[in-house]
Amino acid sequence: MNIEDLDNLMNLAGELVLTRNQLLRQVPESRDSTLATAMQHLDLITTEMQEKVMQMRMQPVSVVWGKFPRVVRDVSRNCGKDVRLDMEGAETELDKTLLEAIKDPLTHIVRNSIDHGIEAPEERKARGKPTQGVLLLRAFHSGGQVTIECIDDGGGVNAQRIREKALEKGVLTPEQAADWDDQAVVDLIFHPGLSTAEKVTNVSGRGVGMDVVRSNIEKVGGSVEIDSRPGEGTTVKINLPLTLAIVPALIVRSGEAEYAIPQSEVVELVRLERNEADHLIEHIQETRLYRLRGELLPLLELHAILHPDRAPEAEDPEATLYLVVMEAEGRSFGLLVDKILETQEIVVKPLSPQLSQVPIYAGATILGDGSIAMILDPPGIAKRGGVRTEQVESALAKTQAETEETEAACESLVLVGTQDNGRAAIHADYVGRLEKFPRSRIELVGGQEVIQHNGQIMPLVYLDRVLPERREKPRSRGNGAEPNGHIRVVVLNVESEYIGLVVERILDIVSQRIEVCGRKTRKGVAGTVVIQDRVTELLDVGEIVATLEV
Amino acid sequence: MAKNKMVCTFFLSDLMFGIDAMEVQEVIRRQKMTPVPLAPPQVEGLMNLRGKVVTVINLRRHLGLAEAAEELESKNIVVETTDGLVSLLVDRVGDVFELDETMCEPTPDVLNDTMRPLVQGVYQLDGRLLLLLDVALTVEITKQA
Repeated sequence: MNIEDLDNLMNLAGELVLTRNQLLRQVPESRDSTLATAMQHLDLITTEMQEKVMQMRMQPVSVVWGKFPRVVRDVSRNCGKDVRLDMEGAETELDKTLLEAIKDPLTHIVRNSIDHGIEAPEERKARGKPTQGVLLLRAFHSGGQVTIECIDDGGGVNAQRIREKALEKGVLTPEQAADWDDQAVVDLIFHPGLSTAEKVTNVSGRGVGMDVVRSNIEKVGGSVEIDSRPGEGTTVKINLPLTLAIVPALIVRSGEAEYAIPQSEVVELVRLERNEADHLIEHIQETRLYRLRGELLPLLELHAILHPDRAPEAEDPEATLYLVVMEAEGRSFGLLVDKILETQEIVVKPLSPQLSQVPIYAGATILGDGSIAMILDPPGIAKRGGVRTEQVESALAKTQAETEETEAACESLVLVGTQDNGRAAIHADYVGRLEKFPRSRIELVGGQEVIQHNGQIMPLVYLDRVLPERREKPRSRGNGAEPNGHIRVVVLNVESEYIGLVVERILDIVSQRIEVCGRKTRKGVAGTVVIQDRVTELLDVGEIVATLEV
Repeated sequence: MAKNKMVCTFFLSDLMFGIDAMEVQEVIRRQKMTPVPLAPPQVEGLMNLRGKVVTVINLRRHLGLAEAAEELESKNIVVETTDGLVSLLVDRVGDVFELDETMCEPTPDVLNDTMRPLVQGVYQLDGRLLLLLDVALTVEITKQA
């Protein structure tokens, strides 16, 4: 079947899905049951039709692999090598256009493996390997992606040779060459202008290198990586999306408009309350940096990137910040948007030539309400926003150094609420898990409350019974109990024994430098510290455990 | 007379333009449009034409004419190009008629520099001047902008 016809059919199916979505939005819960039934049918039929059309586009990898036995035979004969080709998962299906796109890169990888990877028979013999080399092609589905691997049992990639070559060609500075580990150096194989073939053979070394392979695969939304085991072989792994036509995307809002970001480009989403944001975002000159679990991310504001000529809007001090963390240009960065709306399956529509020059868009799409949303292109955004500029680099370097200093002094703490509305902190080192148990699981053994946990019998300690109350106050029973009969437990792991610390509430986990500034307030407490602007008691786990002892 | 072509006429401020009617797919009234930040200024935005994403070119801006003083009931002339559908945003659409190609006159110097290369020919009609635009060139210029 003609691929163009398929594309058209696919587009129509996509339109049908969109029209259905529009209908679904406008007829939310009609009281007319016939209409509701008809809608439901339309819904089902459309979904099924979409799936069927998708299936029609799918073809087994064997379509491309079919010619490899011959390629392998020819190439190995030319190189004077003895190679057996094994194939696994030839029935794995993927989009026809993707298959077309990977045909040449994959052929190149196979040729490379035989030419550079697998050794000549005498050499293999000398190394104690069977004279016949094995090239294994493997394809399988993994989590919404298709992986194709090309595994050879040759000599692996010679990292030293690449290092020398890279030095010679000025790709690496002498310091880098000395500094980089072998894996990083092997990855340079994808760098333009590095061909490691010592002699230019008939088979490879014709200027079409692995850099072209990589860019071709990335063009269709895939990725390629190489894993070399010196003396044992090389694995080249290609990850591909299942299909190109419909992609899941995150819809975000900036100003008045909605934008789509392909889900595959999104690393994570972060929601920041304004009061938190102020001390988590650092301003260095013009650059804003956000510290995400110790890693520094440059922040870009979508609105400012799209409308550089408009004055920045007055920031609402109460507004919550939404951060879409993405990766491009070899760096993670955070994109600040006004709102994160939802994820949707979108049909990617290419832009007309009038707009294809605008580098921050990857296309456009029609949303369920019929409006058009631009699809953002993270590499373009990163470039436009300048995440690789000198300014950012210096800001990063500077802050990184400071971070390392403070990081060393930082400690992780679990914050819990005590019954008198106070706060207590426990060193995360002692904490195994945070759990919620129904009261019914508590058993009584010799007057000690215990719970079976992870195959161990875990004694329970009630925090507010351990901490002697300083002021007398009659209080109701039911420590750490919720109305529906659950207890919140911080599972302490002390010398590989579990101890359950029953607390009122589990508040937060923080990482910060601890300076004990207050003295010991009561038994079970090591001292007081200020965490999140609140005076917090730092618990002495040793003393708490000691209360259990008979 | 076989050489004669049908033209679709339209107006931008007080000028009358024409384009080859065979290249026009349809004329629709102004639609809701999605602006495209960072796009060339001539691009008014994108509109959804029955499931197709169509780029709308603001022809006044593109031809270097002054922006409309008052809010106009402007129209979209959707044209077919080799790169798909493009819409030209115009003030008003006029008649479609057969143009006598022998009436073609040299392009007058009064045209501004942006407009001149796009004008294929000028025709004198009942005391009015018709500027015939080359559709392919008109939609293409935006590429370089």
